[in-house]
Amino acid sequence: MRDASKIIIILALLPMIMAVMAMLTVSKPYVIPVLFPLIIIIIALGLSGKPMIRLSLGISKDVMYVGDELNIELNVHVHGGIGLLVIRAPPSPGSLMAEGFEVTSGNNVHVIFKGFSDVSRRFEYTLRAVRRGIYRLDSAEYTYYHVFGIHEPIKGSISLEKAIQVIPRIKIVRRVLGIVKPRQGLPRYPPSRLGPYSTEFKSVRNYVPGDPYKFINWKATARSTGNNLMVNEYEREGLRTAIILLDTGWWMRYGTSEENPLEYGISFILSLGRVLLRYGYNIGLWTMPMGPRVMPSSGMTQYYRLLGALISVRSLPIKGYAMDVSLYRVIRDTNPVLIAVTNINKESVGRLGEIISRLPTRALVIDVAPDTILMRSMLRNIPCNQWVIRDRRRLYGVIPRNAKVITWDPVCEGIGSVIARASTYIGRWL
Amino acid sequence: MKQILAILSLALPLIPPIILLPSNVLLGSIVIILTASLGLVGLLMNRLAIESWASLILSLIISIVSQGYIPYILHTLLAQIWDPALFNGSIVVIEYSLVSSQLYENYVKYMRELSSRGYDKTEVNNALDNLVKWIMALLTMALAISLAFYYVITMVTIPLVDPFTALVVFAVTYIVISRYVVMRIKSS
Repeated sequence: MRDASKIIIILALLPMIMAVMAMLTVSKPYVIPVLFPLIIIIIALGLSGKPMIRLSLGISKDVMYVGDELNIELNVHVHGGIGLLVIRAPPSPGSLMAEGFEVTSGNNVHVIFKGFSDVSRRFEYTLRAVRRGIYRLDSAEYTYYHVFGIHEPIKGSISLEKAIQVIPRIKIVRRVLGIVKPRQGLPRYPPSRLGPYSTEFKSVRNYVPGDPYKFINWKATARSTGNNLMVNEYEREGLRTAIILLDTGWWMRYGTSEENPLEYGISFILSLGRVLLRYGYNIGLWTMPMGPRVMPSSGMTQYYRLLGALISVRSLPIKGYAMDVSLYRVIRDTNPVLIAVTNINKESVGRLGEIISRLPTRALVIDVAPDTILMRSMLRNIPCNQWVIRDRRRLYGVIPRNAKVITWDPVCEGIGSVIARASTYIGRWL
Repeated sequence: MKQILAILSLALPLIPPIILLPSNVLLGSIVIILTASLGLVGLLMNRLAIESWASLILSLIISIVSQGYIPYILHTLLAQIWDPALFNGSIVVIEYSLVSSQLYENYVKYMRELSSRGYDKTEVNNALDNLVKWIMALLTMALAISLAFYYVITMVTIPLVDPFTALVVFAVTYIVISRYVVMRIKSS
């Protein structure tokens, strides 16, 4: 829009040229080409007032599921000034929100011409959430260009404090036929070792990472000869524990930004977690190589803890795994079933096998295969004949014997079916 | 409005050479052909201002060699103009076309840029059309005021002011206005 200033510069030069011409030709009519540009400049200067721009944004909801639509209303009021106003409402290009939403109707960018009278406009547009996450609206930006470019474009923005929470879609599994419910026969460990902490004191021992701080026994710590941090240990309530291990390695991004092993894995974890919590399990969550963790607990509050942790998980360009020490302690204490959600590939299988072999528990590996997701974008009507599994069998040979692998092709198989298959093992092991 | 801008930018620069035709057919025809050809080239290159600039430069050259001090010093008229007052006054339409051609170029440029950035084409068109309408209205108003001024000047003559004094008075006024404009552009 700097080209508008070019017009003014040309208009400013013309009178001088014409004045010289008028003098050399001694011609009175040259007064007209002298005056014309000058009058335009004077008019432009008279209209050079800066506008007062007010933008406001309203959203229909701030918590939604992936795939839901969000209606946004943008109100613009301009007072003063004459020129073009270019507005860009969220999502801004390159922002996190732009990755998580797509415009389905209307437009978030607008151009308005402001004449002498005030302008009040209302724009509506609809966004569809394509990825889970917590998205800040950030700001709505505008740029005002004067009609003759008499001053520099005025850029401004209004800061929007609102945030939108996009929750992954989950499959509500009402009933899993008699398999998930822990067997009432003789457990291999007394139930008192498995559930959350009770108030019944058991012993004092050295602190290990993962112990709640509230259990630190300060008096015992002060008496400790080796300056060791001591904690009280309490008896456990009688619940079974399942620990979910989510791989956040780079290979979890294979596929599209909306459909990849990580997104499907998160939906699976939340759906399975909901089922297990309903059946009275303790559920814990760890991410590897790094990321949030949720210590095992039960009840619907725990479901929201899992949701809160998983909503902002991103896959990282880190190869290899580094395990959390507290996970070993929790596994040793609670003898849980370990459910690892990953996308097994040549790069990751070695380290994954090594980690599982070091964990003193049985593990269930949910291998989310992205092959069909990738193929679907190229071919139509891909047959679901488990051709992807055949390629992966060689890799499964590296996984230790204490682990069972369930291959999940999310394009061909629903979450409910995978949960049913997983719960067969969970029920058998616990 | 884009079409109107294009027509104005292409047609207006031809008016001074057309005025030249009755007095000097050959020169007028050459200038018309040259200006029109440049206009077509400019249309293809999306640089319509070329025609206006060419017409302005040629008209000024013809004007300067056909009247005033240069023919007086050389004792000969290098070009004959049938109605010098009309010809000189018609240069204002070239100025008008200069602005409209710049507007046309900006219109096309903004249309392309904004459409490629996801702005609604109809909305951009409407906004730019309104912008052009306003500018054209202001230009026409400025032209009308200039003509009115000229009429007043021709009616009320000030015999004491010779051309050089008038130029000095104008130059001082012009410098003051120009400095103010530059200051405004820089300070904003």
